[in-house]
Amino acid sequence: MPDARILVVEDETNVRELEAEILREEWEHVDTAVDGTDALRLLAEHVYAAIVSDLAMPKLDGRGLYEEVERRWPAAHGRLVFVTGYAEAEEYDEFLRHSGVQVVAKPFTIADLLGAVQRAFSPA
Amino acid sequence: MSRGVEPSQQRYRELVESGRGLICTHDLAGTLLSVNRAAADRLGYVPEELIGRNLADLLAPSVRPMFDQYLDRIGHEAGDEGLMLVVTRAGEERIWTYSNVRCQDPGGEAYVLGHAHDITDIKRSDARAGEAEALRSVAQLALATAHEINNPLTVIIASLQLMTARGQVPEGAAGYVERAVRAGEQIRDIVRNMSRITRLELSRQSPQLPAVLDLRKSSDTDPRA
Repeated sequence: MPDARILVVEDETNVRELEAEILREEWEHVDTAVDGTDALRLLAEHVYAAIVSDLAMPKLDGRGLYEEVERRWPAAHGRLVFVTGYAEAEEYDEFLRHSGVQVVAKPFTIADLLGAVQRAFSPA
Repeated sequence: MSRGVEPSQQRYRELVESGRGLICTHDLAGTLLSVNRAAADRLGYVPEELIGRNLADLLAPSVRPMFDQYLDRIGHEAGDEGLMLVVTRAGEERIWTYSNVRCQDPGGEAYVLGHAHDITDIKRSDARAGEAEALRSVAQLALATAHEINNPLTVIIASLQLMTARGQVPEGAAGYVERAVRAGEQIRDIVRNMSRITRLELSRQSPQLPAVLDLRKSSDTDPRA
């Protein structure tokens, strides 16, 4: 699906730009959002084949984004991928287990990120 | 009831003998004149074994040098209170809080009436709570640090991989890039192990960190493990 549209949600500029650049190697349409609130604005405008989001962000974090996506666009819920440096944090542990959303731990390899996005296109 | 002892005196004696408070009397040199059963029991003795011994003998060696200062205070003041560290017959150190007063019977020698409580368990519980709180703070700091390290490390590792994948690494520099990626991956493993160890310690509610935390020895690098 080279024409698929992908959304990257990340508050760290360097990480956000890098993720977008890696994904653009495979997909032409990659949008970026600086936090969950910014992502909701873009989600209202476009249909995304995958949403690659950080967990810990200001304003609306990954958990809040997940809840909003589940409420407003239930079909998009399976297209979420969390990319986080908090994969070991207890505060997100139960949420990640129950949500069933794919998790890519930072620092990731290019293969980790591309593989997770590919799987998000056809969630189990 | 003892013959010739007034009922009120007998009740008073039972209060001292059967009560759970730790009570003794000693002279102004520290020699024990009487010890109730609760105090003797707590120290692992019967009262008769303690009478005639000096209270200083029951103190932990670390605090024994302070006993003369106590005797000096109680000899000049109406009373004295504080903490004492005693040693039981089995060698266990216990913390007692004491409140002693100087007494004098009409026409008799002055003596000291001592009253103490064993607060060892409370003190240890407080210490464990304090250590658990300190451990929690360390764990939170470790996780926050992991997050702060992981973001720039992501940029370093993935950027080098992207350069390699695009064939942008200058000729002769591939070895350096490869080494830099490997070093980045080592940092990644150390940070993950650090996070995992702190979580493990928190889940055990252990009051103390392990004596040695060798972060490099874990071979399990699955971040979700």
